[in-house]
Amino acid sequence: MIKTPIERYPWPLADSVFRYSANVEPARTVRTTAAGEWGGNILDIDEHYAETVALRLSIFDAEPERCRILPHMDVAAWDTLLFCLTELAATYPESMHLDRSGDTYHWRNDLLDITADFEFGVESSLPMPPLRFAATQLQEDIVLLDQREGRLFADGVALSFSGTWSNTFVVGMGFGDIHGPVPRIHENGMVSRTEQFLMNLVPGENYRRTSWVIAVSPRLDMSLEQFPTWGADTLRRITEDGAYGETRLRVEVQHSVRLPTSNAVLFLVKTHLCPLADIVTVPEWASQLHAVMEELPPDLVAHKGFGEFREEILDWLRERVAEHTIAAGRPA
Amino acid sequence: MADVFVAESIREVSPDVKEFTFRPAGPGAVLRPYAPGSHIVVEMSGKANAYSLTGDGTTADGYRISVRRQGDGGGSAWLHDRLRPGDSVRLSPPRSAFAPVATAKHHLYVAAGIGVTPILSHVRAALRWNRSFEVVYGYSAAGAPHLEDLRRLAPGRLFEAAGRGRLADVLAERLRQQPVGTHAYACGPAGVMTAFQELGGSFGWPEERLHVEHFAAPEREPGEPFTVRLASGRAVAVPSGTSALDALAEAGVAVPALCRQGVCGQCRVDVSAGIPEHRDLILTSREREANDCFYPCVSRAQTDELELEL
Repeated sequence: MIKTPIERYPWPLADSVFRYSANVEPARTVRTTAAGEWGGNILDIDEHYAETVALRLSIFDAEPERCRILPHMDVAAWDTLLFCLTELAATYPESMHLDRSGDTYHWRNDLLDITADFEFGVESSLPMPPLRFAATQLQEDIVLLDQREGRLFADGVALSFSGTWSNTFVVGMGFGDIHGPVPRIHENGMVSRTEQFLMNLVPGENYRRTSWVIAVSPRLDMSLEQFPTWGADTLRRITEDGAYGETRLRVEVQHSVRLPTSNAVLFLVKTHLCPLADIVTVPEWASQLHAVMEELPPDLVAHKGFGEFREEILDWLRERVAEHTIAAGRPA
Repeated sequence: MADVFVAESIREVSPDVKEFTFRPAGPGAVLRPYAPGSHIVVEMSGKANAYSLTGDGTTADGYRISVRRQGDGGGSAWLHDRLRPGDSVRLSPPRSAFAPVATAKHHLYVAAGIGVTPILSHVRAALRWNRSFEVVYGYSAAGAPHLEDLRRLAPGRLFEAAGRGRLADVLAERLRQQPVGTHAYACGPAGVMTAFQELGGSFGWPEERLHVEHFAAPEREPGEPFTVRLASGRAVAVPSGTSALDALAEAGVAVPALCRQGVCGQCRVDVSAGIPEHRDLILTSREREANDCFYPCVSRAQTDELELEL
């Protein structure tokens, strides 16, 4: 089972009230939580590395359109590869190595036992296209945004582990259109503000944000492409059994990087999963999550994934909060 | 965030233009890849000038700039007269403000005089990445920097124009003959750039397909110094080049902040007197006019003093 332990969990809530906001902060800022800390790196390799990469490859093999670029994104794909390998080698110097001699690079990944010699920009020098090669070295999903005529367009994707949206439908879409289904953020100007922010990014100054949802499935791949194979059954099982401890607090840590050579924006998404049963062992998290979920207005409840069982999961959370209160010796 | 580099070689490319090649020397200094048309800022004894990089962006051969000597007291004279091979200088990382449009079917590059430097970078990148392109180069009798380089790099797709009058003719001819989907990019004296945009416009080019290099990058101005007064009556000076957020932190007044770019809204502070100079991306024009709050990470003051509810 793929999960991130609470000691490293990227706790996404800052307050007892949640609304969508442009909650960006500089990358690599270490955050202390009630259970530990997270956030020191842009690319995050964990104990599920090999398993995650193998899963991603099987998804790309079955659905090749989930890893593809529009033809004008070839430079951005190479840019992505070089950024990611450079970043991995700098973050994990004991197991990742990138050496350069002119245009030729030598890559060694001891954790996956992969070596490659490639010439920058020459596709025949790699065993697979550069974006796919990059995706096989990372646990993060990738969206490549082209910037032109004062807008951003999602013109390349390597998406295997997205939430409940279509990875293939968005290719070529503008930034505002991609976010079409998200409630409230268009009216309050947040989408255009965020797009403006991303268009002002410069190489070397990288930013991140988090996003969360309550997920009924323990799967990393919750894309709409795969929804028919798991969606309805999983929901029925959770609600019939009242197994709310098995739902996941699903958190995305999203990084935005200006790629230097192509001037494209690289959007990286690492998905973290943790069962609510684990989350509620931390008293502060149990009460904060309960407060946030209880206060959330209906349109956001639906978008946060628990519209089908709001009352039930709130009851379940309230009981967990009460248990902590009793254990702490305070009156319930 | 400038780092120390060393001038590895200096060569004359035309009577008043020298080419400088820099290699990293100081701790933390690295050659970063860059988008064609990028510039670096060279710091020289109290002065700082931006110069276009002329390579294809992969930095295999160091950072390379070409500088025309202008006047006696400025940065270009310092580079020409003072800098010797082996000397150290501080360079900022490359910044891009003149990148090619990836979806273009064809690229028309227009250079005039020393404006050839970013165009040279575009041409080298276009060759590396197999982009369809052509170049118009206008030069004067006094000197044509990098003309030989362009002749060698772009045989059959270089359109030369000796003299301003000839350049106008060649420009008009090339702008008229482009296939649909072409993007055009110009760098040169203001007059040439204006002519480029006017000619293009008169031939029906959409504005967003005519790109000009504005030499200074769109970075935020350091701004005028001002004072913020706290509810306690205490005054905190905000010097030019320092944000109010940093000045407050320095004075022991921590304002919670996230992005520090005027986007997230975290550091909002209410203003009770004085008029802010809003530089954020958050407030609507109506909210700005209310002048009852500001974002100290980027915004400053139009009045000498701002009274804050802090």
